[in-house]
Amino acid sequence: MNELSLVSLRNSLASARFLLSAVILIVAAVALQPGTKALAKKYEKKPMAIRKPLSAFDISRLPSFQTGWKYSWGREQIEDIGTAEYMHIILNRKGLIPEPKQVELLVTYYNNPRDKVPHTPDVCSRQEGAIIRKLSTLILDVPALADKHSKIKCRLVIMDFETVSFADIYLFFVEGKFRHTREQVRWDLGKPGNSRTYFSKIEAAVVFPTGGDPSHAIQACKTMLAEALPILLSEHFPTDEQITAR
Amino acid sequence: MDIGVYSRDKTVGPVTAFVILLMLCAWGFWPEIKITISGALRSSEVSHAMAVPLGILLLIFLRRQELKSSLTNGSAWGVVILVVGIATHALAIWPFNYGYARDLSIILVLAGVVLVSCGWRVLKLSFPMLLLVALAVPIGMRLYANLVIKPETYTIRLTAGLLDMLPGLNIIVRGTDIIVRGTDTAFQTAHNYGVVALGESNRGAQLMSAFAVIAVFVLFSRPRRLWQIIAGLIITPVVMLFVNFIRFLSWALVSIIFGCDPLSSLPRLASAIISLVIAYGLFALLFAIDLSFLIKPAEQNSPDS
Repeated sequence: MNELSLVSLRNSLASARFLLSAVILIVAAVALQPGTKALAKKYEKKPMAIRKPLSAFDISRLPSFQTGWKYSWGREQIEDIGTAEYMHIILNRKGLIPEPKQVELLVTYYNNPRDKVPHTPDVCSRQEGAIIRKLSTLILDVPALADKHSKIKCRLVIMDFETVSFADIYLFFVEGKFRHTREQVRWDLGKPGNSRTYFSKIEAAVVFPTGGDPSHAIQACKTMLAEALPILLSEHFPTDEQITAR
Repeated sequence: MDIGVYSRDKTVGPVTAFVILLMLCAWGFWPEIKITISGALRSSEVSHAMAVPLGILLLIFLRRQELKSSLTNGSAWGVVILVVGIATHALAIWPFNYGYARDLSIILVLAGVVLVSCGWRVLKLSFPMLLLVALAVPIGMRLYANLVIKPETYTIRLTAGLLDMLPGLNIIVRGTDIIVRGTDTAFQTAHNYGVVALGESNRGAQLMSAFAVIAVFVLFSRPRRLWQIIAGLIITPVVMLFVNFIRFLSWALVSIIFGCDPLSSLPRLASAIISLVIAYGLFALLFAIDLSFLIKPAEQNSPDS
């Protein structure tokens, strides 16, 4: 090795920036994983229990669905939805009244800090044979919540199956805030601040004839959510005070 | 601060510093590297990651003169990028739990290492190598599934529409499957009824990252001007979607012509080979047309990159 090479080596390896970088990388390699794990353990959010079980939801308090509808409670596989705290209401029209014939409301509640944000219909329904006709974000107007939550954003999915089509509107409620994408939910769940955590997925789905006009179905989904959300927030989901309480 | 271009003997220092820092980086990021390697060995969706080191070495070899002449003693700004990369990595573990962001932070750390040891000009030349590393990082399943909903829906619809125009076939789309009912003429399947089922996750969009790797490799395998690179990066997604459609179409045609069962590996392999070869050919052709017709007069001057 000639003298120029040695000088070059010395200039590079003895420089402050090289030594500092090496130290940073060594510290990161040694301490980053255990350090972040310890922090995660120390500051892990506590589960926030639901105020009133979803199974106690009072269907008769949905004004638009009080008369002319027959209702039943759907059963879900806990392994599929990831929680035992859920409600699945299926409302079927009585008699020969035109669309919509069936409206469904599925609400799931999660409060384990390690719970994963569940699949959304746009992703998982395709495996069941759905073709996504439309995927968009819409604003839901809920007058009863206007003072605290104006312009609630939701995701609208229009799906065509071979024999039937669906309009599906879903949104999330995370630690007291409405969110409409999984990524937003993950961000809120990770964000420090609240000492307790929970989130819920609220989904309304309406059946309509294959390939038909979805406008009535979309409206029925909106009505269902606009009537169910105030009840969920006022009676079932934890209050803001409960979430922030230390 | 960069302190001038070094002669051959003077490259020893920066290169040694780079190798040492790179090894330390590999030590720190070993869990992520291990996950990428095991994922590449397990899933065809990310198996292109195995070709990325080779692609990077080839690019370094092809650009060796430029790299050598651009070597400097490094810049202290690299330390800042390094710290930002490590901080991003830490934040993506706690409080946020973003696996993809955590894995991608290695790009910032690598950029910091290059800048600290070799300087700004080498960092600029390393952009395609860093891009290849980014493409080797597996995108989370759910994130990827969300990203590809529209491309795969339209690709399936387009493929079904095209197949439906062929004689002797009745086509129905059911979710991500194309149901083929052969009637009497050209494409009789073994069962006279078949399902073109992409028996894989993210149906119809599985090799997108592999197509992107090919595009980056072809685009940066020789010096090009900045506007050529920008134009290349703009047309790349369009070509990727087209090649993906070719993959889907060839999958369907192989399934139909050879009467393959829905889970048969023949259409998967055949369509993968066909689409990868076409991707390489198309990118090479497009970037070459770009050079020969648009750039030649300007080649009198030296290229920027």
